[in-house]
Amino acid sequence: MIKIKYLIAVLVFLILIIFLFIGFYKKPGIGKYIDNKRTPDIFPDYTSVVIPPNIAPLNFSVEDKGKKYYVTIYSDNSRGIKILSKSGKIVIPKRKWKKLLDSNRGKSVYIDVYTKNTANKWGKFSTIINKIAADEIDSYVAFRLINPAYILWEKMGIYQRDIESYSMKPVLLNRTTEKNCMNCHTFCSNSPDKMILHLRSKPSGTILYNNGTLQMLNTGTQFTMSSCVYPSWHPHGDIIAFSVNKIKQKFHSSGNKSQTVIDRASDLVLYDIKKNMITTSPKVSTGRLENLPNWSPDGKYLYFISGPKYDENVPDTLIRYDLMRISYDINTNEWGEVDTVLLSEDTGKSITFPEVSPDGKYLLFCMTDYGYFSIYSPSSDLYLMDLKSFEYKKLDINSEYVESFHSWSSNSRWFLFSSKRIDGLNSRIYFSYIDEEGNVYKPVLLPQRDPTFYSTFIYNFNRPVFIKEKVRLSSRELTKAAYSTIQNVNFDPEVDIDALSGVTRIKKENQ
Amino acid sequence: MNYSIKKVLNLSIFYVIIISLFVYFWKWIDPALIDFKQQPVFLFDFKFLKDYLVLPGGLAEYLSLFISQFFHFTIPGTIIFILVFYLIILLTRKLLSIFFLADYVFVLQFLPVFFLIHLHSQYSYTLKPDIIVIISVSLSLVYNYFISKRNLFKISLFIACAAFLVLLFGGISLIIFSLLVILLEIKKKNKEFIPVIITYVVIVFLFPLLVGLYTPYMNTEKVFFDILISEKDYSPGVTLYALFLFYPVIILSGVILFRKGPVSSLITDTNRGKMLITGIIQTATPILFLLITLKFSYNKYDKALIELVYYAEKEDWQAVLKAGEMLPPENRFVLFQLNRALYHSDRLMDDLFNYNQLWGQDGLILTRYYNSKILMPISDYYFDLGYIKESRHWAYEALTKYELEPIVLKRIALSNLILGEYKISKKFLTILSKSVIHKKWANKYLNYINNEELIESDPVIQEKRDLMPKHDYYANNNEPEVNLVNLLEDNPKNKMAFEYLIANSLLRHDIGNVIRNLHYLSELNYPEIPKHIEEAILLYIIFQKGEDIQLKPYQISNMTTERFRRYNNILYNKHKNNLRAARYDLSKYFGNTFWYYLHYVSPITTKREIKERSYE
Repeated sequence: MIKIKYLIAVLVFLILIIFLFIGFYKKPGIGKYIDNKRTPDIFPDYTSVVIPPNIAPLNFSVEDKGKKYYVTIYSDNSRGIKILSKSGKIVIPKRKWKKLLDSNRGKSVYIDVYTKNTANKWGKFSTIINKIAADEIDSYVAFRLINPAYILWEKMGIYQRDIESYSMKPVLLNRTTEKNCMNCHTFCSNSPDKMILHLRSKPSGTILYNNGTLQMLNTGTQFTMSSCVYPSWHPHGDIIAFSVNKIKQKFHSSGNKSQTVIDRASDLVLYDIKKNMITTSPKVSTGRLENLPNWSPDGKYLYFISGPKYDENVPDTLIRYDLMRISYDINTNEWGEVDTVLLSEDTGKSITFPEVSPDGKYLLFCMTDYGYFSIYSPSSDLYLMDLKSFEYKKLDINSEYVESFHSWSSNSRWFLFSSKRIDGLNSRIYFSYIDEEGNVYKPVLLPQRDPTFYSTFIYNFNRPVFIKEKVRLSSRELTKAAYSTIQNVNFDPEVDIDALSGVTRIKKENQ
Repeated sequence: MNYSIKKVLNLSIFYVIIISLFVYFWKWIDPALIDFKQQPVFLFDFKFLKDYLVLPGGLAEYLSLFISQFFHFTIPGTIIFILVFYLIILLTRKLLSIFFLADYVFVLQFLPVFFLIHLHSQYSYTLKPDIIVIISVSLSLVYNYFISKRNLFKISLFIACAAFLVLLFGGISLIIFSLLVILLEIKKKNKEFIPVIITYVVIVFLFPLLVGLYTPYMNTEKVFFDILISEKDYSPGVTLYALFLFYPVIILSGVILFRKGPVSSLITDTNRGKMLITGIIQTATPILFLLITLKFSYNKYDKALIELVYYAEKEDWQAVLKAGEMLPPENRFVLFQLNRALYHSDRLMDDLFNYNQLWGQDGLILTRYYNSKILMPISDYYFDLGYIKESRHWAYEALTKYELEPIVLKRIALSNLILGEYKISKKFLTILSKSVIHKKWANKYLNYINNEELIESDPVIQEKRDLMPKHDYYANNNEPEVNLVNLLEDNPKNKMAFEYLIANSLLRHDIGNVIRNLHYLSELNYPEIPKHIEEAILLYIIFQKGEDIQLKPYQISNMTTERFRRYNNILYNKHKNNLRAARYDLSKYFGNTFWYYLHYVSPITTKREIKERSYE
């Protein structure tokens, strides 16, 4: 009996202590402070950005030195989020953040940063003003994580990241496929229901996922110079445009470029999923270097880049690609005439990675000094073309480092791109908002739970693409597909391959 | 044998073994070489831990890295080994005591450790097998503590242990644990032990299967057998199988042997004579096993191969030469390091052919045929040359194969620092600064970031910056002489580029190229023409009769001229130009000359082909 009473007494005492603690706990708050009269130095740079309303909290580190850090995040319609930190790492509570974003779409969000100096005085920086977009961003991004090497690989995988949280999960890791190479993961109209993925080195082939069916394809034929490489899904989902390429790499001894990738030959082909057949046309398979196909959202045009025929006596610095397009009728397999959209002669640069927005209004592309494989070229920048007027502009969001591969969100209000602007080595994913008038806003770095994540993460976020929902295929299913019976793709017997140069397999003496 | 004498004797044997192992690891194996070979890095970082916890069996790897980082230092590393072995002996003794008489246990308790000695003597095994043994045996002992409890309790305990093992230590640990538990149950013969055992067997199959189905990180086979699965550059040896099978097999055979019969009666017989014999056998057997283990485990060639690279990393070139001389020249990589050591000892141009250059130019420069084993040596070569971008390139390639290896991270950090890529350098230095072992090195260079004064005062950085190419050209790994010519043109003071160009030309029989580059001798302030260049010039004079070569201010030494005359005398006069017949005489006096190399050693002459696996 005494024991029970004793226990109850202890329990009551503990509860009292807890309540006292809660009651007396001084919520973070600032009294007097000095005005620092400048914006704080934070990393990532989430200042003056437009934020997707469905993005995970934009955690950041305050780079300015201090003993303590205090941050308030607020808006016109919401009570502030208050965060106190000793390390400078500002980790924003997810639920409060979501609530703040949800109730302030289209409005501004303010961030006040205070630091306590060694004299125990608080200083306040100028308020950071960001905008919350009304338009959401596609919820997932798929990408490949690879080391910053050029030739070899060991560990790699395709991952998907939920933009609304920090969850990053593997779609397929090469641990389960004998450490082969996997690349060119592409989705039809940002839907995970139609997907392709190349595997190189045993097990080798192309995994095609098409509305519930998984297949492993061998896309190499005796009439094409290589297996299919860079893909683009036709919006109807039954045809995929590919390039076929003979690729060569070279390494620089000095200067700011580490590597040049050039094609000795390349052409375009179309793969018809229903017929399991590759076809092409003499108009897109010539002696020139046709590459990087991209369908318009209505499926009527195929945009691509076209470079001069490879000549080993011509310096690589003179290889520049033009931007072309050709009309195509999916029902009749009829090709129109090739149109020149933009000449490298006019721009003085080489055009690469054309990508039309889902609403068909704009075309995003890169330009670089030469070549097309722009991820290693610091001169590569993003450009935007209005597809009504065909006028283009260089975007202000570029940096002195590489801006390269990009992808549109399905509502055309956001795009993402790869940039090496943090350190010049590793590519990271940035999101930029583009409004109806084509104004592009300062990009937001893909947020991480730990704001110092990027300071030690050595992998590249390679070939990032938006997807509307997560890939539901399990790794096991994809691995099983990789080892399933491979289906050989046929070549269209209607194509007069003798009339074509480039499509016919290049003989060894010509290499 | 009197019980107390026996006890003292057993204890003495035990400590003799422990001390022997200490000396063996300290003096013969040297944990610092294991550390160098494996290059483990352990980072005090939550993300580092998380990356291992997501992998089935990842905790075993994590713990292995944590402990083995201290192998960096010989004595602490040796002590760690001894402590691990000591723990395994104690656990083994405890487990086997359940099944065997003490006399048997005394002999058998050392066997797992002997297997581990054999594994670790190969330098490539981590502490993972040790950890698997420790955890499996420990948990089986815990289970044994509760073996008399009700079946429901035991099954729950088993399930908890099974989940713990398969997720954190891998399928192998679960299999060993389960086998031991089953044997314990068989021995105990509790009520309804058969359905319990059947349940356990089902769990052993089910758990790894489920994990394999749902984890994206490995397939089911790997979840089950993990460390026993062969991969590209890894093959589990027989010893590893023997280690893991030891407990269940020994216990099972003990259970069979323990039936009344000659063996058990030998032990239980109280006849004094027989007791003495068994006492001697019991004492001698562990010592005998130890000696056999040490004899067949230690491989001086394996050690010399690691020392070769270890001392090259430390730039102790005399030690490299000493280690290299023990190793067969058939290993191209050995020749590469020897040649490097010769250059750094200022002996390349005089003593190149003192060594059996049977790989020709491919024993000097490795780039024409490369694979994952020589990525960092290629980076080293370019770093020596001052071709920093290319050195960095190969370090990045090495990063794919040897992620987080300190030697790779250091090269990337330093080469980017030299190239002025401070942000990249800072990234890799920050990673290294999270390692207790490499923190000091990393912090030194972190202070350099954005501090040009400190950078300019660093002699290594300055030297490399002076040697770096000034013009942009493409690296040529198939024709390495092209890189060397370009480097020399950019910087005529690049002595290594010159000597390697000459050596490469000699090894390729390209005497013309040697002659074309003679002008660098005076630019590089050679006091006289190096021996092998003289040998090449003399040959050139013979072949290009009448052609004038400008050698001023140099001249060919009388000694070399006389040697050439004697070489020709033996070959042409004595043996009438019969190369085969002349070989013995020539090898005795001229085996270290360029002429002998041309006639007998060069792979161009012998048509020797490289057969090692190479990336295209």
